[in-house]
Amino acid sequence: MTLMIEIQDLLYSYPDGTIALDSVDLHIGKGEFVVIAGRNGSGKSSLVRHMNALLLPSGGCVSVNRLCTLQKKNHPDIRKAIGMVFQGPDSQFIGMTVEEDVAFGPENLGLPPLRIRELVEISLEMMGISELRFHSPRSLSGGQKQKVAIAGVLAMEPGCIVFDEVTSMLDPFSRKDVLDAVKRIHAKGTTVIYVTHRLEETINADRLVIMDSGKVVADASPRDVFLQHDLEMYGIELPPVVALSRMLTRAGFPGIGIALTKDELLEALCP
Amino acid sequence: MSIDIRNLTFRYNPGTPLENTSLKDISLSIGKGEFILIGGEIGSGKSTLVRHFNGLLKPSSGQVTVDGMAAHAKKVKARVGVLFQFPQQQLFGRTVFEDVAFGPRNFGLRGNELEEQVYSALELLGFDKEICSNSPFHLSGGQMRLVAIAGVLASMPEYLVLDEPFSGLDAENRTTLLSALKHLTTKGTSVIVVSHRIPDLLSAADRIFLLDHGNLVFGGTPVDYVKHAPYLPEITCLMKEMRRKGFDVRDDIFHIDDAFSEISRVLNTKGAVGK
Repeated sequence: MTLMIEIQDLLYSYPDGTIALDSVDLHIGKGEFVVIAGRNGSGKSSLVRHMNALLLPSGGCVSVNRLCTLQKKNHPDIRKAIGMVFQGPDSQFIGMTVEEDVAFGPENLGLPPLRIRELVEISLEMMGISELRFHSPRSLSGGQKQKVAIAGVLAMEPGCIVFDEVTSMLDPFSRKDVLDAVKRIHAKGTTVIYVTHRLEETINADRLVIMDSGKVVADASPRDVFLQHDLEMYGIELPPVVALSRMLTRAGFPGIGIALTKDELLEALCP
Repeated sequence: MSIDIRNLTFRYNPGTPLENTSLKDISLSIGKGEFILIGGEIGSGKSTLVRHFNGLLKPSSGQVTVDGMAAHAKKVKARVGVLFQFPQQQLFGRTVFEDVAFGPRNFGLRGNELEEQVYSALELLGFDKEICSNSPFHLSGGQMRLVAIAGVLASMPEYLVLDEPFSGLDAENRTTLLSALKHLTTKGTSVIVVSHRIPDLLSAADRIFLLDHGNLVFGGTPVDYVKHAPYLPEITCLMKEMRRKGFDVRDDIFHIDDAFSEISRVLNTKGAVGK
């Protein structure tokens, strides 16, 4: 697998001296779907903000496509490679219409108008919001807004998109909608880094990285992480079905193991 | 002593082309010490509904009374504490103490009484006294949220309304907040939580109300909820499907521990036998 993001011995401390990240090593390959989870203040947002040079290391090094974030001349290329979507889309809108808003990114990349049109078209379609193109972003529901924000990032064709708690303010239906869109984006070959509290959203990720007190405390497939770690220790709640299957397994019932979904558990219980 | 809502209808922009009926003929009442959840999708009217509880909005028709008084009466303001979404954006004090003390001071508390109130609100949410001299802006997002909630608690409202207080809080802070709210209900405070995560909060609730396009479509206990309501907890879905596959298990369950004992029971008695 080609390496996309390489983080080595990363240290980051706030101006007041508080250490936010401590000897973090993380390698993310092209096309991976990596989930980063951890309690409030565990350092996950600080970590992902290093990936497009919004924050710069106090020690160690972060590179994207072999470009080190410490060198300022690399920043334009790094930011082109890594797109970011945050929790509250409201603060990220600038356009009068959805279409204009989505076009903002590619316009800034200096692309020719026809290409911009094409990219806007593709991104809106990918997010399933083509019919909203002439609406004002502010008049949309939370889930729709978040999809516009994602379309705006998609239109710049980054190789990797970081989603920082993008569903935490959404209702269950919009959440599923946005998550499905994220999966579609990943299926098209984009590297996805997905930060969340809610592990049930992410059981089909390749990797689950758990952060606690600024360190990476687990990094494996979701099933292995659930099996090998007591995530409660890190302030993370297991998805109900995973927790239930683990209780049953620990109580000595055979053949259940760690079930990631309700259907897996059903299959194990009533084959 | 209760919040009583009779035939409440609310229209935004009445008499204009933008007129929009947001609440339709809603009647419900909330008693002392109850833990109430109000759920529904975005745009279902749940935030509009709770804005009537302390008179921020006036009904287009019908009535809302708090302990027998009209909800927009001035006296009601001290009884009903409302916390909106993203309360951390409402922090402004130089220190945590000043921020939390702002509400009760405005309601006339001074001196020792004020200090006690502030400390006990912060303590209830798991903070030490030391935090009082810190700036609220140097706290983590979760802690800022809890400090903002302490600010409302310190005014000792009889009814505490919280709009999506749990979104974005991690499991630990959620447990702290939830047990603080449960504790308040044992002291007689009514807690009203607006949330789109009803399934996660079911075990804490006394009653749940669900809104859909401005209509009250469900009102009842958690056990009624898992029998009738849409968006069931995953555990309930699992139990329902096991039942469909011929297992003799209860399907009105939403708590993991209950599911565990039900499943262990059938596995132990029958071996792993389905239909």
